Amino acid sequence: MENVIRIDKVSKIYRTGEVTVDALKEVSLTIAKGEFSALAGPSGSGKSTLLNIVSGLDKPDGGTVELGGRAMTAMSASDLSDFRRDHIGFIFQSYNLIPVLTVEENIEYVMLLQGVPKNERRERVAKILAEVGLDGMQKRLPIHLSGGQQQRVAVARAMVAKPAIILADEPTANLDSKTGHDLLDMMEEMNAKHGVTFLFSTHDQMIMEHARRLITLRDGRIFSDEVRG
Amino acid sequence: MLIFKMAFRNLLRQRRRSLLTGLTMVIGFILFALTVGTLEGSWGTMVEIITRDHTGHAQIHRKGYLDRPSLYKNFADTPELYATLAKEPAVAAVTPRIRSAALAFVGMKTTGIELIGIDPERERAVTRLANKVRDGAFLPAAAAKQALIGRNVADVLKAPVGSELTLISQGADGSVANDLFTVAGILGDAKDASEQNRVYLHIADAQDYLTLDGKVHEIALLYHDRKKVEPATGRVGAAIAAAGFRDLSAESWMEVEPEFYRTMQADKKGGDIQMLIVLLIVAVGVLNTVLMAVLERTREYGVMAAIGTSPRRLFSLIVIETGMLALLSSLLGAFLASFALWYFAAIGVTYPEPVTVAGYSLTTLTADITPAAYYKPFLIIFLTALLVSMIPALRAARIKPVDALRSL
Repeated sequence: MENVIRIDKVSKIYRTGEVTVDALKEVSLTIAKGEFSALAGPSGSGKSTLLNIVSGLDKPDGGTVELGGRAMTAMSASDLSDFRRDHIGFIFQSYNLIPVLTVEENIEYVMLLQGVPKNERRERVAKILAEVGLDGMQKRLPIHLSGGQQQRVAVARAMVAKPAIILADEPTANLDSKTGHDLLDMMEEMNAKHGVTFLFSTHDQMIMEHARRLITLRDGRIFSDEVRG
Repeated sequence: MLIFKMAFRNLLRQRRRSLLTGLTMVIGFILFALTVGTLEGSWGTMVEIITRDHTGHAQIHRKGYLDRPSLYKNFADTPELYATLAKEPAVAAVTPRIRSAALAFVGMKTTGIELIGIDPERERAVTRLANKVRDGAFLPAAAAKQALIGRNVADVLKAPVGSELTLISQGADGSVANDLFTVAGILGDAKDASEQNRVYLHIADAQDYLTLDGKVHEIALLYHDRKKVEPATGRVGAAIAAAGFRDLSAESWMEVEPEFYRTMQADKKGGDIQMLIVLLIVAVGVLNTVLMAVLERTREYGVMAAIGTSPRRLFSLIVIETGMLALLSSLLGAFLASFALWYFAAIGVTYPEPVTVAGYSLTTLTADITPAAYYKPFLIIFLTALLVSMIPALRAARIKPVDALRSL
């Protein structure tokens, strides 16, 4: 199967004064197209650092990262910004919707940056809103939505731009278990239906159970890599 | 257009803060407009007083007369010269004058005076001297050995209308000029500093008295448009030179009254300093607000950068937001400033004591409602706000998403 991500001997060192912490130690990993995978591990294991490097938000101190065959580690900040816009969808723990934009404007935003024509944007927004179960809420501001609804908007925003991969950092951490479960079901359905690749970083047992591949990190290294049925 | 929507909605997020910053700009605009308006208005009034009461908008003299005035630096005001001036479209009216100094006597009392010979009819077309007669009458059209005297001359010599005034001076032929004139009228009041020590004669009487033989010292010109004095004077100077009057020159009122003009320019510079202070207050207010907003929204900007918003777009968002606030504040400021300007223009504020500048008195602070009273404050407030907002905007554009997402 085609690899979406290829991580090769990636290292990351954090320095605070004279203290240095090896957050990642020569981690190598590939994620194939259509995977529904999770990075798990205790706090400080390096999963968030790895997710930041995969997303191009942070640079590794050593090793290479390729996304869709392109070496992200060699890109400039400006190129990385365009690359993220076109190839990576983000779902954050705190939803992080743009508070002054309505639901539909938040979803439309990345497409606007991509230069998608207005009519197509509107069509895609309407379609994804129906898929995430937020029909009729397009004119609401994020402040008037529940946490679960906001995270659904975040999923829609990540999905609608048709990225190569969606990176989700603790997407259920701020939700109650029922809402979290529903959201996870929705993402699983989208993965199955559209073949979108998901990579989670999580502590949440529920996500670990649903993930079809569970990569566990400890002390900056891959401790286990378990592929389920 | 989404970026404009976002910028506008961002303004409404911290309404109180936006309101306070907007108010700073509104007040700044009003102060700016009033400063520009009153500077233009007061000095416009003063210029109007000087030019319409005495100098005219420009004058023609023998070259070098203004540097060192002399009885002998005279010229013939020939019909050809008047015809040349009449062809200039900027010129509305002209009047010839003679100038000298003399001693004035009434009985045993004496005082030094500035003697001016005028053509009463032509003078009426150029200046408002006739309106300044408080007692008696203006000079008759034909020479009749009559004199108009300043209030101070009248007081010092105790010379009411109808008194016999003896003038002693030096004639252009070297003889002693000595003659009797009847006081026809008294000019101005104690507050009018400009006319205090002047004595006006009919130009024919003055030429006869000073043996000037039909010569004059100056021709005062009135233009149709007082705001185009300098180019008009340049054209008049060129025209008289081209007509063969090469020993004559045309000078604007700024050159005729250099002391007043310098004072006016210095006061305008003072106005600039006042405006600079207002500008600094606006700049600090805007900088504080925008910087606070950027700091508060660090995480939001981090998210926007993470999902692919370019640094340039982030920069623009903040600058547009500030620009919108400056635009709205300027519109409100212009609306409110109109009332203040109208009050100063229509009613004005009377000074407790008249302000005297270079011998001319101003009694009321007035404003001129000119386009400059609006576009200058607008440009300065708008551009300052945009310029100042670039500092926090740059900060936002340089945000590293990975750091910003860690911030609370």
